[in-house]
Amino acid sequence: MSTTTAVVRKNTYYDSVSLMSVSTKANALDGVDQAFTAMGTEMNKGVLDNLGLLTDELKAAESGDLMIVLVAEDGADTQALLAGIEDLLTRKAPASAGGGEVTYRTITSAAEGIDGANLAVIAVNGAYAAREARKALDSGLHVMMFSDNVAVEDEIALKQLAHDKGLFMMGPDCGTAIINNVALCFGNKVRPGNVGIVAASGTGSQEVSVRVHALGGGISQLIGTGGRDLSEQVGGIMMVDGIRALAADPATDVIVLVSKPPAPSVEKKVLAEVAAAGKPVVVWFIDGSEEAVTAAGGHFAAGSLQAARTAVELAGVEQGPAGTFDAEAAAQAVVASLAEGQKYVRGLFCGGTLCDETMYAVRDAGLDVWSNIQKNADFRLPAGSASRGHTFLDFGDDDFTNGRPHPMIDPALRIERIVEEAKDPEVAALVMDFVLGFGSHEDPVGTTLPAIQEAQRIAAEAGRHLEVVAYVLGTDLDSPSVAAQSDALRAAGVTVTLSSTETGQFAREIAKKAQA
Amino acid sequence: MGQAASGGSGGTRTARVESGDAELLDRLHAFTGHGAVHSVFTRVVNLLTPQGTLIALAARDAGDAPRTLVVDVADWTDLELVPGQRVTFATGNLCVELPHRTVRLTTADARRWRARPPSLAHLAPGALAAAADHLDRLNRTYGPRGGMLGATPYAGPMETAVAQALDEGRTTLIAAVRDGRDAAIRRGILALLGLGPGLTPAGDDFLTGVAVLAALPGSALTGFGPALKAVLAEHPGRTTDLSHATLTEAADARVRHELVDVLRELAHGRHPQELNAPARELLAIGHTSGSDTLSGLIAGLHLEEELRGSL
Repeated sequence: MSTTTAVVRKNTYYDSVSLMSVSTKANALDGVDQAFTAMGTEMNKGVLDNLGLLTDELKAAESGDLMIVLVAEDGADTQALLAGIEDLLTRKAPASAGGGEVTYRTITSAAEGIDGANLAVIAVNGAYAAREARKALDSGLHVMMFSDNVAVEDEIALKQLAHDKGLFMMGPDCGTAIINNVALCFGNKVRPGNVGIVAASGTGSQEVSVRVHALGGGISQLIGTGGRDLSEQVGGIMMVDGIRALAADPATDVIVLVSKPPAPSVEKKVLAEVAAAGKPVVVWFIDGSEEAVTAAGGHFAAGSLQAARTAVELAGVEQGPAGTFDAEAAAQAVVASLAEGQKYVRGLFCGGTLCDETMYAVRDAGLDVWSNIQKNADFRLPAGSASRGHTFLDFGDDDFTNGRPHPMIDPALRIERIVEEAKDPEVAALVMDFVLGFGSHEDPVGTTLPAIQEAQRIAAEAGRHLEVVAYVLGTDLDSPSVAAQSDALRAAGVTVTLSSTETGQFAREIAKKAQA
Repeated sequence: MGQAASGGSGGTRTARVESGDAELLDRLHAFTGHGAVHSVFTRVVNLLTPQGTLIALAARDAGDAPRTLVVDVADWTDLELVPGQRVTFATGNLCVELPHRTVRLTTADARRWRARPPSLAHLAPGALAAAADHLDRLNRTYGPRGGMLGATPYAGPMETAVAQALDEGRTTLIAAVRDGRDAAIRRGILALLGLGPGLTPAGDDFLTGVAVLAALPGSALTGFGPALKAVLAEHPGRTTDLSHATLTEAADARVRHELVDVLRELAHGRHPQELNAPARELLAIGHTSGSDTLSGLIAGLHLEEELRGSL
């Protein structure tokens, strides 16, 4: 039998985001049946009363008091659980400098105060980011700017200033970098090695880095440029500087470039750098063409897996035998279990490049695909719209993230959509990604599995089999590991693919056969 | 604290107020004596004035709101402020006294922000309905569950019970505003006031959305404002201090800038798509606060449409 325990903290205030986060984490503690934190208003106490949870202590709470209500499982140590919940709350308290840590109030003072500091990561509101970046560059620091919504004029000026000073200006909107084996923002724990990456695509570069790692290779540096760097206006300033830096880096033997196809004038400039690099350069311009890359002496890659394989091969690393995934046979087995009318694939992605790679694989089979990131405006689907036919949504696109955390941190929107899609009798398969690594959600699979199971239940009750396909981007060194997350998915009946490219192949074959 | 807080002699630092609620700036000189820190968050510090009024100091990213001064600091974390700390209000400036230093805020160059949105009286009932429908679609697409939009998919019994009570409270309130009788509206307000786990409970956020509409010149929701003011006066402990202050201001059509921006766009009467950007900013407030406020605004717009049509 469960026991109810309550604590009232007098005059204690936490913002609603913190309270919700603490409640979620508290409910996940072993031994907790239910945990709830709320202000001690009359109405909230009334709800607790109706549930039979209103203890004498809670009755005395006032509207400025925080109520912590714990319903523990039989035999659980309630005091230890309460201490655990209190600890979660304490961790949410505003941080203060202490324990020998020094908090610097300005970038300039940090640059002066930290001996040997040479890089600043800027993640403030876009309206202030350029100002802070300029101070960092003026203090002799390289900059990685996670912030977005920075004016393109500021981006150009900052990149030009960095170039003139011999510094990197990675970003704005740069989500991933690995510098001297340290992953910054969204990055994965990968083996050090001799493959260097310059990328205008965050999850694209993550995918190449984890594939290189899985194939036995390692990463020397991963330099992010920000998604707008290869536009006509910005002119690829950072991509060019990145290629030159890796060309001069003795620890880098092979360079990989990852980007959506650049503006034509910028492509010419970048490919001239490829020709002059003096090292093999693998070029994965997502949905790009082979001819110009080959003419410049580069190694063209049609997908992320090919980019990683070519790089590892050129780096002289002995690879194990290539996988023998038979997408066609696997899809045939799936389609055999579908009911009449189930014909569409719905892709629900956190990573933009992962979404692109799968979407283009389906499109290249001659099928219509709808997406919020479709280049073809006729097939563009605004973020709030219901799915149509084969739909691929990038929940990390600005349309979905404006004012919300990135889905790699907070997957709530996608979780709701998983259940919605399962109600559509025309859906044959749901395809999704899970991105592990520094900066990402600590358990993306665990937080999404209940929705997947709900989706499977909805389909089963309607007499349908719903194929759920998932790719986990990560390494054995990440925490949680790719193996642990994949095992949890498999245990729930999810088909786990082993790369972004393989995910695209599988989705394409299901779409072709289901629609036939 | 941000770089704008400059060093000074005798352990005193100066921080510039970038902008402030114009009505608060006008009244600031009247607050003399000692107040106290009420509550501390990363980007907002709430203070009690010597007269017991709750006001807020916001970091520069937090934005304008009623009773708020926006200060040129990144956040408040490094000051180690704690509730109950003494604050001195003197004519022309405001000092926060800490054990080892004093932080003085200067308001001389502060931009004066006006919290009042424009009237919607010129909009036809059909335009109100179209705007409400569009905002509702945005809210259901982008708004998080856990408040007025219902419980999250795997909610426990407590969240489910709160969501159910919120839904019932909304139904009661809408019926009461349609009914128009003061006693019914008061009951409707009391069915929501203080309901929800957060610092500004979801029920209060919903009431804020209705209250601001009702307080605009030309509104057809005539009975709501007086009823809300009466309930707040008669039941001061029914909700949190912060939420009580927010509702008190909303009853006078004074709301934070994200909601003002939505109402300004509504007043333009342009295509509903133009509401997308300000509505998304509103939805980004708190966990469900923005969505709950938008839910109240949507309910209020539908009521406006109905009640204007019945005139």
